[in-house]
Formats: sequence, structure tokens, C-alpha cells
Amino acid sequence: MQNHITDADWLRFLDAPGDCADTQRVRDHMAGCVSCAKVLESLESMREGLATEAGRIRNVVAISDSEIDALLGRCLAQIEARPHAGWSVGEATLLLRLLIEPICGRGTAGATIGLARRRSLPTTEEDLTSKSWSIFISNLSDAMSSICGAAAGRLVRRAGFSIAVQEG
Amino acid sequence: MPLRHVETMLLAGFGASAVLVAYREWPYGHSIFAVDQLLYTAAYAFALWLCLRVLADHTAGSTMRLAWMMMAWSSIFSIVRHTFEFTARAAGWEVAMLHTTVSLRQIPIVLALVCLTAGLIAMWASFAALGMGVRFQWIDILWAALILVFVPFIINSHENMQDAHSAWPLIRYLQSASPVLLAVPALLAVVLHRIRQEMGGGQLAVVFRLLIAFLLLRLVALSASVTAIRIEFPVLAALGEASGAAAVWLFPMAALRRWQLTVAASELTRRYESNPGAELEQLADRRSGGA
Repeated sequence: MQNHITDADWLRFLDAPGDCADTQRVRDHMAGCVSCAKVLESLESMREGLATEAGRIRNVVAISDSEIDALLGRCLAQIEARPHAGWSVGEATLLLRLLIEPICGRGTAGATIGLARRRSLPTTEEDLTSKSWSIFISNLSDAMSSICGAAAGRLVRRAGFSIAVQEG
Repeated sequence: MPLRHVETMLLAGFGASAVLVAYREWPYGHSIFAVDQLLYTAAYAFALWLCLRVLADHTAGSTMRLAWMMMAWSSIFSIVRHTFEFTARAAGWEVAMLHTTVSLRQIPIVLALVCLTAGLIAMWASFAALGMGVRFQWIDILWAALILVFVPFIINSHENMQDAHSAWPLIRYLQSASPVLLAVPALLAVVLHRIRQEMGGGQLAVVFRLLIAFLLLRLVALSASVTAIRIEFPVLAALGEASGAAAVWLFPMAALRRWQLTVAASELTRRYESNPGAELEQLADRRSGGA
């Protein structure tokens, strides 16, 4: 068969089935094409089924439109507040230092970061990289845990692994 | 129990102990029965409860867990000691059995001091592993010397100590050791002070500040209670004793501050679990604000 309705035509037609040049062409074609008319029939029956199921789910959940809006708002806020696209290792270390300084002070923060850095790097390397970041976080978490307790260690681990570290 | 209520109770205990003992001491002779002993028991009960919580926050086998465990044991022996003293006073044993049964209080006193010392050494070891509290300055040595001056001063007044005339030699030896047993934790307070300075602030430094005050004020109180100061300068002696009584509450206050640190860290971890991006943005804002 030739000049059948394309996927793009179907999408335009289903989105806006009113009278316009594209939808009129679809209607004209379906008038003479049994297979395309059957496709439309099955698509419409599927759409009705989905609308019915969506309505049922909505009723079961009993969630109002305003609640849905609020839910979406929160999701959007979370998406907007997603982690920074990428921090350099130096920036990420600075962020962690800012996190732990109010807990154990500047001096202890420096000492624990220094110890974790030494434990995380092979003798041939001097600087942390994105590859050594995970082991650095584990070591920093252990060092903090030894002084300030497991809760502080968990905080360092959680925050450290939330930071997307990239080279540069 | 909300932590701010605990804090209020500790502050109330601090004030009540100071006022009661000051009332008893100046002028000397007012009766407060044994209410001070009840207050001390309450203070150490709080300390025990908080130490147990803090030690549970440290991983098994860690040095800091050992430190808080020894402090919990110290609290237990202190509770035993003050409960015993309250009972002795309430039962009137201080009249008939002052040099026998009552003098047995030296056993829990010494055990509490030994455990406290062990706990402080373990705490020091935890920081020494990070290279903190291992380099001392002249001012630290000066403080240590000042503390050591108290020891012969108190030993010279040994006869005025409460159980110096016990019927049992062992108790008399234990009583003689008390100036040294109090001076060692006070010397460790100098180490804690050095660590606190190296910390450069933070919540943990507040814990150390309270511990240092607790350790030093006890030594001052002992000096005030047994030396000639008591007769020559009764106001100073009353002040010293009142400070020592209040100082007991600084120990649970330090443990409370340490526990608050755990609670705050757990809360912050939950926030990082629910929305790490927002928390990191806040941190970054602090960075740019501080830059």
C-alpha cells in the first residue's frame, strides 16, 4: 500500500484531531483504507482504556489536583536542586572541610583530612583524583568516626559520596 | 526526653549544688542534711546515661569507645560512693562508724578516679593518632607545674582528710593517694586544653572545655576543704567548695554536649539522604560567603 499514514501523522492527528490540513488528509485516507481505519480504532480503544485506568488509579489514591500540583512542585524543586554538575577534587575537599569544621574545629578537620589523604594516596601520587575520591571518603569517614563517633562518620560518607567529583 | 530539658535540669543541678554547699560552708555549720549527696548521685546518673549513649556511637574496639566506657564506669563508682555517703548520713553511721564502715567510701572514690584517668588517657590517645595533643608549649608546662604545686600542699594537710583516721590501713593508704589521683586527671586536663586549642573551635571543643573545668575545679575544691584556707579565709574556702560541688555537674554537661553532636550529625545525614543537592548548595553558599 502506498501513502499510508505515517507515525508523525498519527501523533499530530491524535494530539489535535480538529480540522486542519494534516488531520483532514488522515481522515480522507482512512475513508478509503481499511487497515489504517483499524489502526485508528485500536489506538482509540487503547486511549480510552488508559483514561479509564488512570481515573481508577486517581480515585483509589484519592489525591486532589492541588496535591498533585504540590507533589510535582516538590519533584521539580528537587530536580532543580540536583547536585552540582561536577566539582573539582579541591572544591569537593573544601566542601567537606566546611561540613566537618563546625563539628570538630578547623584543626581537627585539617588533621583528619590530612590523615585520610595520606592513607588514600599511593606514595607515587601527591594529589587526590576523582578515582581516589571514594577511598579518600572512606578513610575520612573512618578518621572522623574515631574522634567524633559513627554518626559523624556516616555524615562524612553520605555527603562525600553525594558530591559529583570530576577532574580539573 | 528532649535534650533541652536535660540541659535545663543539669543547669538547675549546677546552681542548686553551688548554692547549697555555699550555704553550708559560709558561715560553716549550716545543716543541709545529705541533699548535696543526692544531687551528686543525680549528676552522675545523668553522666552515666549520657556516657552510655555516646559510647554506643563509637565503633566496637575503638579507643574513643574505651574512653567513654571508662567514664561510664567512673560514673557508676561515683553513684555508688554518693549513694553510700547519703545512706551513711541518713542512717547516722557518721557518728558511730566514721572511721570504720563510713571510711569504706574510699574504695569507690579511688575506683572512680582510676577509671576517669584511664578514660582521659584513652581520649588523648585517639587524638594523638591524628597528631594532636603531642606537642606542648611553655604555657602548658607552666599549667602543669601549677597543678603539681597543689599536691604537696594537700598532702601536708593530709590529717584533715575525711578518712585519714580510718581504722583500716588500706583505707588510709587510699586516702593518702587521693591528692595524686586527683592531680593526674587535672594534669590530663592540660593535655585536653592543648588539644582543644589545636582543634580551633567546633562542638567537640565545647565538650573539652567543660571536661577541663570539671577536672580542675575538683582539685581546687579538695584544696579548699582540707587546707588551712578553711580557717584563715572562710569565704575563699566556701567559694572553692561551692565551685567543686557545682563542678560535678560539668561532667554530665560535657557528655550532653558530646551526645548533642551525635544527634546533630544524624539529623544532617538524614537531610543529605533526602536532598543532597540542596545541602551541597548550602555548603557551597557558605564557601562563597566565607571567601
